Amino acid sequence: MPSRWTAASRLIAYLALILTPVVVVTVNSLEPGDTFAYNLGRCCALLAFTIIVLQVALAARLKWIEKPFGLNLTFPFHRRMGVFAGILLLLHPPLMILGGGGLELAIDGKWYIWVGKGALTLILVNVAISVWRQRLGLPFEKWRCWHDFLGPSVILLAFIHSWNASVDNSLLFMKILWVAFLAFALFLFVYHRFYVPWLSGQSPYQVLEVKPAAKNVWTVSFIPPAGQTRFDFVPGQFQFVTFLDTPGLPEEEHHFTISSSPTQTGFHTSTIKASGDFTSRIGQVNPGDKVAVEAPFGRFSYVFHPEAKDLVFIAGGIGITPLMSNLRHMRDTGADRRVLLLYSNRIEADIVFKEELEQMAAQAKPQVQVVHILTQPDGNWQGETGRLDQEKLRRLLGGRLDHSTFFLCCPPPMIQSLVAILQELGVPVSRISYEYFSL
Amino acid sequence: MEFHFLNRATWLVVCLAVAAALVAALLRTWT
Repeated sequence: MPSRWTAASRLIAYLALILTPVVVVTVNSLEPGDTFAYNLGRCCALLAFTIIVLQVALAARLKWIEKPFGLNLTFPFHRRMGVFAGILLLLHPPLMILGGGGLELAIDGKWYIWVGKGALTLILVNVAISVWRQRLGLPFEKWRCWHDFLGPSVILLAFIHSWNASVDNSLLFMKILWVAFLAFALFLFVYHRFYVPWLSGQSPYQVLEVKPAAKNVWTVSFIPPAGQTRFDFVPGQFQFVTFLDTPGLPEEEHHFTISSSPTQTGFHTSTIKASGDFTSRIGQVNPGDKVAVEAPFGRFSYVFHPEAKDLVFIAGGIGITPLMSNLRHMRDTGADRRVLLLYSNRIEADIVFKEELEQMAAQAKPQVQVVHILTQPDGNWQGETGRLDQEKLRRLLGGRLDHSTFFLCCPPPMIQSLVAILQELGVPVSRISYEYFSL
Repeated sequence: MEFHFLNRATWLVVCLAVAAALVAALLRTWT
């Protein structure tokens, strides 16, 4: 759960910023006599421009914004606000036309009206490729290149359009505000996409070792540059890494959960499953390889829930990694918590950290109980089998349904199914936390 | 709980922004 007051303050600041232009032009009551639809069209555009400027701030991984929410909230919020801005901009031309601008506004417009049409087209393309990226079969890296081109282009075109077309910009305050918004957006874009990656590459981390952790799974350990200490993090957070000089691996940024605990000093690890074009080559990484690291991010951590003494962790496959970081931290600090881990895999060979989990289960603090569930077991498997359906969850969880706090990290369809089942079993959403990290 | 918060934040921003646009358009038209 986001830290309540800090999160509320960020949300109030966001609202104040997006509403400021509308309030300013209303108070100054420019050009009286226009129709309601015409004025509403203007307000839609003012709101949309401010929202798309702030989109850069939401995506720039700024600690001030990210910390109370986690990127797994700010990124989906960024996407939703992008859709909202697209709708507002889509409403802007018809409202202006119907409100008195006439069809000539659409057909025989001045050059800056065509610039506005360009901005509208680009934002609709940007929203479409972002919302339906997977359906369109667009790889993440290609999508990111397009998003990086379309986002700033929309802001630039929308600025040029409104600067020339809008009567509201006859106000000096609005002129200053508009230029400040544009400068702010361009500065943040350059800072986030160029300066921070360049800075991370100047003092890169190094790969310490690469060890197989299970079938097609590797644990990669990273050490900080000589003379520097490792960044501080809380268990369950994740990092963005770019392998800078590994032969066969493209120099692309990818995010990986940190599987080690912050109590393990001097290094940190990510445990990575070979599941895509990039990760299938992760075994080619060698000790000594240089890595640009940007971290830490996220709030998927038991430490933010000091009141929750009874925890239920549900992991699907490689989703065990942030939960393992949490468990290791509890073990190393002797945390007085009770944890039931339901760990679902396809086959026994897919189970990661099996021995370490058994050792944890034998310790007194925390009290850890591990239940392995296999969906495609061989004939020798004696444990739980099949999908985690309602009957199985009710049986395995028992009285824990009444009071435990749930942490889920699984593939998205499994999370959706589990959240629905848990709610049917009477668990309120306020006691369910899960990794929601999908762009 | 994160999703719950995300939904509430989204609706709060959307509703307030739409309400502000409507009120501002009304005020600009009839004052």
